[in-house]
Amino acid sequence: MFGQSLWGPVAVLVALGIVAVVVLAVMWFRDHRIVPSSPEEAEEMAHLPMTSLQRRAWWAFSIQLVLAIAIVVLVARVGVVEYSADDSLRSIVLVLVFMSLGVYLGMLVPAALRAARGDADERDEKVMANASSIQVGAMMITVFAWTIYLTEAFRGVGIPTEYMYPLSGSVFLVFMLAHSAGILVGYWFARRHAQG
Amino acid sequence: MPKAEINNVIRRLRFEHDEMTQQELSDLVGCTRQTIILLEHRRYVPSLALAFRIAHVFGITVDEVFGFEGDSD
Repeated sequence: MFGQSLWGPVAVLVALGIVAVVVLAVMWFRDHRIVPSSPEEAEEMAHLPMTSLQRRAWWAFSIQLVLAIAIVVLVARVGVVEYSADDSLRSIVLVLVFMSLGVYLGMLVPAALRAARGDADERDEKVMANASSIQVGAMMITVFAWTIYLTEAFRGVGIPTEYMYPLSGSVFLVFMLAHSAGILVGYWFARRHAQG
Repeated sequence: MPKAEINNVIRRLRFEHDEMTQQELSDLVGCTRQTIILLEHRRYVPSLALAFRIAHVFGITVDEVFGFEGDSD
């Protein structure tokens, strides 16, 4: 079904992600449109100031997305088997993964710890608590995409061990990326849902 | 989307207290300005703790700040 390159799982992952996002977006926009009751409210809602956590999540998400795209391009350009044999390329990818981890630890983990201690705004705490469900969903989609790809691409011949690091590495990257994405989705959700 | 059934007079109280800004109130009660804005527009229902802190800042009781839409009085 697929050729033996990294573009297969990337395509499946992107397709599944897009379907999930479209379905969720249609459901929410249908039920949670914001209808301001006055021009003053419309103005204030349109220019709602971002919270500190929201700004951190935007920065973390943007930087980590760029790093993730760079990693995927670097690995997919040569293929997983060739990537595994190229020590210099593996070192570059490892540095990019550590950079992503640094962004995660520096920008989101302190905010998560503050929320866990109860030192944060109560909406921030709820957003942080709900972000983990987005993380779990994104990781499941990633594993599912890899499973479909590896099963179909290597049916009957055995899955090469070179795919194990990219598999676990991609799940780790998605774990970090989905945390900031979950926070941003949480704010979007909270803005449309009046209950505390 | 229907608004929350819990209404409030936070905006009026701010103006009656030396035109306190949303940022000043959020600093006093330990939340973000975004939360105050959403509260004022009834797009967020606060926890009991936050409701008490807001009432405490204005020196009044919680039911003088917040009300239930179904209440007749």
